[in-house]
Amino acid sequence: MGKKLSIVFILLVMCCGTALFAEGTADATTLEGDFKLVPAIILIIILSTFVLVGVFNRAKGTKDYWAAGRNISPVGSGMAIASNWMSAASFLGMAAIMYGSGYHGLAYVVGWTGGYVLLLVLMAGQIRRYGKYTAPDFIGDRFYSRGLRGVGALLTIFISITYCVGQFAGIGLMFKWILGIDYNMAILIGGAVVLTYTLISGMLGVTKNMQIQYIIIIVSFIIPLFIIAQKFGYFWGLPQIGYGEVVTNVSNGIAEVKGTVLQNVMGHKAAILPQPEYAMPWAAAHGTSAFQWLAICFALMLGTAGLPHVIQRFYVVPKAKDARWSVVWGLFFICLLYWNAPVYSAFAKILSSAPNMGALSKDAIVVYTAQLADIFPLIVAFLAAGAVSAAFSTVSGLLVAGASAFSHDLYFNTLKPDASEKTQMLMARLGTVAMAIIVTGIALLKLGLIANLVAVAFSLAACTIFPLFLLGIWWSGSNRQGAWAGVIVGIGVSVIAITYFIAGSFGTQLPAADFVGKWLNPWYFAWIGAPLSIIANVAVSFITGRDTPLEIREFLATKVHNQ
Amino acid sequence: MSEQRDFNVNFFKPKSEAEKANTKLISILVVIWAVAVFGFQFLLIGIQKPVEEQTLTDFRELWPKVQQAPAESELQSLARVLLSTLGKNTTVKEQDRELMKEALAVTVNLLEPGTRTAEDAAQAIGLGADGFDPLLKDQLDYHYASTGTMNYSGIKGLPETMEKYLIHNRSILTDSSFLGFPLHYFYTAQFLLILFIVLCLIYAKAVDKKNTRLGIED
Repeated sequence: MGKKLSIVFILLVMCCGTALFAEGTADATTLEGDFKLVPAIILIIILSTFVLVGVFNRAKGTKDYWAAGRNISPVGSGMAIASNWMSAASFLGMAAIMYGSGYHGLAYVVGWTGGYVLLLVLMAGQIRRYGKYTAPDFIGDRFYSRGLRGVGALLTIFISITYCVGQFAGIGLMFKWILGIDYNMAILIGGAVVLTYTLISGMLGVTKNMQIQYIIIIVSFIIPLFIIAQKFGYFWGLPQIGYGEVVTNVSNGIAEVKGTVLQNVMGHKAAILPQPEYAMPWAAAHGTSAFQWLAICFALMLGTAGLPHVIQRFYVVPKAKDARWSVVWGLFFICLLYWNAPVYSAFAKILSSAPNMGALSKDAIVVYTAQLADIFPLIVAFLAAGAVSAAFSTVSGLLVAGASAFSHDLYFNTLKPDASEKTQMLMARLGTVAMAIIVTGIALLKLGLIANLVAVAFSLAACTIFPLFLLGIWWSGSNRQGAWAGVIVGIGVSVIAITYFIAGSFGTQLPAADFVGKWLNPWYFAWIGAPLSIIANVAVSFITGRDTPLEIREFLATKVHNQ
Repeated sequence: MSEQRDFNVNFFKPKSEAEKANTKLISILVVIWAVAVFGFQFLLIGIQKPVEEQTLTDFRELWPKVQQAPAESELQSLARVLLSTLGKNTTVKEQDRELMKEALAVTVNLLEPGTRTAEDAAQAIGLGADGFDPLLKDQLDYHYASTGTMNYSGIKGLPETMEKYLIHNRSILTDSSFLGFPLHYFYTAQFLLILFIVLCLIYAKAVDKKNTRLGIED
């Protein structure tokens, strides 16, 4: 069904786009402000397709809703992992960070891919063998504690909300760009659409959708780069390599591109004064340091291996072998996009180098770059729709993870074990609505760049969930008390970092704000929080006698580690 | 049998042959991963040297001179330095930009007192039509605002500001080129991602092979 629908969808986009091309020519070249008809129609078609696929694959019960029936192939699951993963932060945020901070932004590229190596070798297969439905399920079971399951559920919800905030910001930006409306209104509309979609489809639909979404995301992201590279005289056969010269050109400056008088859509010459800080590491010009690069990269990697909605994907494959191969495929599909994101930022530097361009919204720089390069408006529109797809695919996965934590782990397993399946489904839906409302409210505050906001969720996961999984799987001595100690330390560090960040955002200066801002920055506090949490877990487990019950040790040894 | 076993699991103390093989494989891959990612960045840090752009070298030479009895060519060169730095656009913080704009206005005023338009200022600075000059002219059009000030006494902290934007961490790794990229940039943005996939591939294949060999049911 999914494949057929995707073919229908692509045909629809092509027909509609061709028919409306003439009208689109005029409006898609406006950077901001106006209602853009072609992008709006493409977006509507894409969203309708998603909803249709969701309806055809509607979740039939709690098991379907949470774990999609465990019938997804490794390649399909890899695509779903990639789609679930490639959010507004990957699609829009990474290029934005690199556009603003050059080499510093590569910490996000490396952090968000390198974490998968850890995830694979330390967790994927083992998690599948453990055989639970959700991350809190594992935590509660492994550490034989309803309280920890509850905390795990709350953390999952909190992480999902934090992660979603960045996505809603991306959805808002793109809806604003397409509809020509106010950012706040765009977030409200976008939030309502993504909520409706998630509620209708549930996870079975979500997984099918994710495969279609992946194709849309990757195709829409890559095509413009071939055109831009070709248009501005760079090696366009493989722009992922050809843009090396663009990076060098930004660094050394170019009076003209290869002796021609190529211009951007505004009539500015595609030339740039030397900006070595773009390519050189940890430039003071950007206010960045080597420590920040390393800390961000490390925190994002650990966070990758601790995000509940990512871990949860390993429960939907039939076997541990499939879990491993789905990570390999997932990482490959993810890298296809990550090799390309820096290309946008490099071209953006040149195409927006004229001083009267002003400060463009960094988070929309991917779409602006395509516009400034004056490429076929339909493709720009498709690019914007791809950005929305990226945000949607992640948000739906996050809302499902958060809602299942609320309904399955918090309500059913911790509060009301006698709840019927129908009540659980209702609670899952109510949880989804509540989360969407909270996320919308926070997104309206505009607390930071998309990639930064998403990085907060990673640090949170790295400080709290990651140590529990790492030690839970690899050391049977880690017991309930140790787990509590680790979680408390992880949450403590997180609370300090986030409190200072929120206080700073509202102009309140707390004591030692500079110190905390440097060492416990909200974008990377896990660099120290995660190791501290692990140390606390190990230390307390030792002190309390490493008394994990025999049946759990036996299960871990025989089922998970094949002893 | 099971009563005699303690069922302890410890990554650092593998028991079965399967566990030992797995631990060894994971350790090797994680070490490669860590060295490739963080080792390389530490290497960058270790061998880097702060290298200033030519414009900063020019600025250091010009700045003391223009505050005394500047020659026309010195003022023109300083104006070029300021325009070039302003050309870093959004990288330049608002307050730093204002400082540079002020210095630019004073410089133009010293060159040609009473200059009103950017066009006149460009003439006074001697901007032509070749090389980067048209781009410097664009900066002038955007950033120049005439002022009556004839000295730099009100401009505080300009040398430190210029240093912030014009000193870069460079080394043989940043100055070498590979496929058109600065080498370190290629390594981080492109090569590391390939390496991650290769590491994952090796692990998945090796585990499959090991499981088949040991007859482990997945």
